[in-house]
Amino acid sequence: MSDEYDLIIVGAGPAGLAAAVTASRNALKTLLVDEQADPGGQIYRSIERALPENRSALGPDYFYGQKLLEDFRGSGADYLPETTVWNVDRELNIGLLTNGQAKQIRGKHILLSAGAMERPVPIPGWTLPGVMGAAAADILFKSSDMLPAGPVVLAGSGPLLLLVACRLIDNDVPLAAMVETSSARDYLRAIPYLPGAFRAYNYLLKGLSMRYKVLKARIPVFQGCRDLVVTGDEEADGLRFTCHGADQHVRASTVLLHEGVVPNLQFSRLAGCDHEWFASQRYWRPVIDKWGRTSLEGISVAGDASGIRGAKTAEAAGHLAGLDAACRMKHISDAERDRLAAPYLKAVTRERSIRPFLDHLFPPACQALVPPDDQTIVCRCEELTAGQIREAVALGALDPGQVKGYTRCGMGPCQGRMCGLTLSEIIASSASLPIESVGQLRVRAPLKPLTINQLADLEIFE
Amino acid sequence: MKHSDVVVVGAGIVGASIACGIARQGVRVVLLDKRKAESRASLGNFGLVWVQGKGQGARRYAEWCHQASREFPEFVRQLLDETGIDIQYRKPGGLVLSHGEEEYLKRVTVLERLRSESRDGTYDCEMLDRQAVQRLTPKLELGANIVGASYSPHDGYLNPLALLRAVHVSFRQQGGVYHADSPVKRICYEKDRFVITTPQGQHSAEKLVIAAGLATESLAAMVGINAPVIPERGQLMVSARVQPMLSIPVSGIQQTVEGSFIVGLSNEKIGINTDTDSAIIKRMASRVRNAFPALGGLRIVRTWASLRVLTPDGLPIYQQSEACPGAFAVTSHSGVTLTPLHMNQVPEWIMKDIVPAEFDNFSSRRFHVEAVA
Amino acid sequence: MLKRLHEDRPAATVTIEFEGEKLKVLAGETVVAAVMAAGAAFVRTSAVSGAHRAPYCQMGVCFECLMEIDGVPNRQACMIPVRDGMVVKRQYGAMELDYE
Repeated sequence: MSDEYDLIIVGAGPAGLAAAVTASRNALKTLLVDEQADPGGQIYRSIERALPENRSALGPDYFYGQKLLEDFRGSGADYLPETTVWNVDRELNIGLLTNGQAKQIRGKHILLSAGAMERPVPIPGWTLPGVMGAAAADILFKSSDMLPAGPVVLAGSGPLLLLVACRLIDNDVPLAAMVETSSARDYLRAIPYLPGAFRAYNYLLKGLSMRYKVLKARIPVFQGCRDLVVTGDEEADGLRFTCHGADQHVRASTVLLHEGVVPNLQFSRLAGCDHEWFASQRYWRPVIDKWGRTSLEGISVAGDASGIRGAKTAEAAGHLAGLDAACRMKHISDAERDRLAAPYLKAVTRERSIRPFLDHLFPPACQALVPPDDQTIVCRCEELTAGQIREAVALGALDPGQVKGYTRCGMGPCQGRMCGLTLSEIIASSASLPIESVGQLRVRAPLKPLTINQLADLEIFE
Repeated sequence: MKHSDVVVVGAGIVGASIACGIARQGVRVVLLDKRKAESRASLGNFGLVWVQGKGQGARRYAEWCHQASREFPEFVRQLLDETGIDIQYRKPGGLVLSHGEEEYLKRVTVLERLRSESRDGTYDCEMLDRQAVQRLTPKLELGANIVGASYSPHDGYLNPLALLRAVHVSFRQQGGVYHADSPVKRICYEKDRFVITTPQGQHSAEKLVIAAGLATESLAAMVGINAPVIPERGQLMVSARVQPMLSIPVSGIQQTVEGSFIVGLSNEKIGINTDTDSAIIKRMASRVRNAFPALGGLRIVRTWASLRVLTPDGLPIYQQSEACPGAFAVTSHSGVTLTPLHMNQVPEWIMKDIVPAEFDNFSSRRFHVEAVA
Repeated sequence: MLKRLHEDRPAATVTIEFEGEKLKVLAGETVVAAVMAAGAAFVRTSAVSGAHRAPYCQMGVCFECLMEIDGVPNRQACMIPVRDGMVVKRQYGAMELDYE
């Protein structure tokens, strides 16, 4: 492995894979690194070893990724799986950990395509064993051919909720109920965005067929639900909620929560890229141009890490970033780049057209953004509650770093990944400040822990 | 326009403790602060209450720090009584390890100098041989290169974040008013009163204290005080929690009450820069491993950099303005260690004009360039 | 907690040890999935309160799946595929460093 790559790509999901293919095709010396053992990111997780038994359950959208994987394997790009990226900076240094050895190398261009994560759903009881994100169940299915044994209760909102419901039904997992926090009112709000959506017809049909499957399986479905609470002592035993004023309690040994997906910003924030607030889905995303270039020279972002737009948009964005890198390295001219980019730009425009509809159909529930109950744990690692955070704000801490100093919120192993968004929302709400001005916790290296030995033996390549 | 008796600008540990100490006298205090915590030294530091080695060539500073250390336990008790907050203060003494003979001899020279400069020819800090040091760190074997250490019984550590919070809580309890989103844009002095302008409005007061870290210089200039401050970056690391292994702070390595190890072993004059540098982190990790090989397995979860607020000679500034009497500038990079004095003696100086003897050496006049006639 | 969907599919069997017990698991599974399929309701206890914790995200974000694997503490068990002979233990509270 040489130490001076033209392009270093972080994350082997659709965006990273596509960028690797296009960059290699244009003779860039390319390195793709990923934490997992297999390429594919989360959406095409374990696609190269997908079980034939699961073929129909996984469906055509999943196997669409197969061609991309094949193209990547044939691309000639260098690939480092099971590699943790622990540092990225504006000088384009990148810290890698492979096989217990830490090194730091420099790239001429870096593409951050680390995808997304589920928005954490802080409701009372969410730290009990047996509570997971809905996508977590899907990941278990793809990577380990497992699912919760059940009974399961699915709660929240978003396209993934229906998808996981169908996953469970297809595999005979008892699904005790679907508890939706979105309501008919959200459908009405989203309707105006429908006409502008290309292939909206397909999405609607897919959604309807999934709803029909849930209906046919006679799963109790509750809509417009509020005040969700996971019940149980040492582990989850069910979900309490109110629906149209009536209290409900559904018994389950697994509670799957979902309130949408948010970009993984660890890398772009660590490097120091500018970010902007995306109000309709309430998350920050890096400021980028159509090529994925950020505010920092030589650093680009593509795919869900730049904003949630799905796998097909991610793939097109990856190709665009690869072309842009090739142009920046003077392997192709501006005109060549623009010519080759045309179909991908069209694809991005097409795929993105469904987003306003989906974003307005599934806004994250208020309870998940600003937990009303003071007892709700916000920082799972340090076991800090919403009340403790509000107390710190009342003491005059208006900055996430100051609240962190007063409470320890964000100081645990996850370093703010699970509590950061909630922390900013609570400060904004309690102090009546616009969340854009509140900002976020600062992200620092190492992005994942390194031992003193690994740091002391760090190989730095200038 | 909001009127009060005293306005304090800067709510890090120095400003907040002075404000709190003044408020305890029953005086109306307004504490002004900028919102962003980004470069606040009080949030990024190591938490040492440290005396040994300070004040070489500056006896008054050595004495000032020793006095603070003596008053620390009582200060902690009072703060706990008032606020119920445990700032995790421990005073097991402190060690500065000697990696190799050369470092040992250098340290001996430092102690000898401090001894000879002291008033009575003593300096309560002794050199220990390797065996004696090992007895103080029974659960962590010393690296092969460690030949000994200097040990002072006056050193200790605490949780600097809990300290800052406790001081703010105490301030509020004393009736102090804190404005968390009020960076100071202008200060005027008219008719024996100070008018302080912030984007949120104006404040007026008879007395003004500027203790704003790196912003002290520009603010102090507005009231005719020359208070030069220089940022000096220090990098730190913190580990995941570990079962208790180290109960005494050891030159830049300590284990907190929660169980995490904190390491802070660098200084760079690099301007306003809070980036971390992998090469320096690597050197720090190496030094930790040399000190205690078993710490090689520590899992570092975060590195960061903070800016020390230094004056050109490293000694504090405690200065009243001559042009605008009633305005004071305070800066010291031992903000944590000196807290008891900032709660008591410094408010006495500000409000009652009781000037500590040490302050001869801490005037900002020492930085004035002599005008050429 | 978790069930295997195709218990008898053709796959290499891997033997790991979990809390002293030998488990037969399938190649390709993650460590945390394997122990949860064997019935483990929790995989660590919190260093703050001792509360039982189990994975939330299954993708390396939440750090709830920290377990001791082959003697090394605090490893994200959802990110590590099972390997034959692996020794897996729950992470009980804060990690230990070997006394020298």
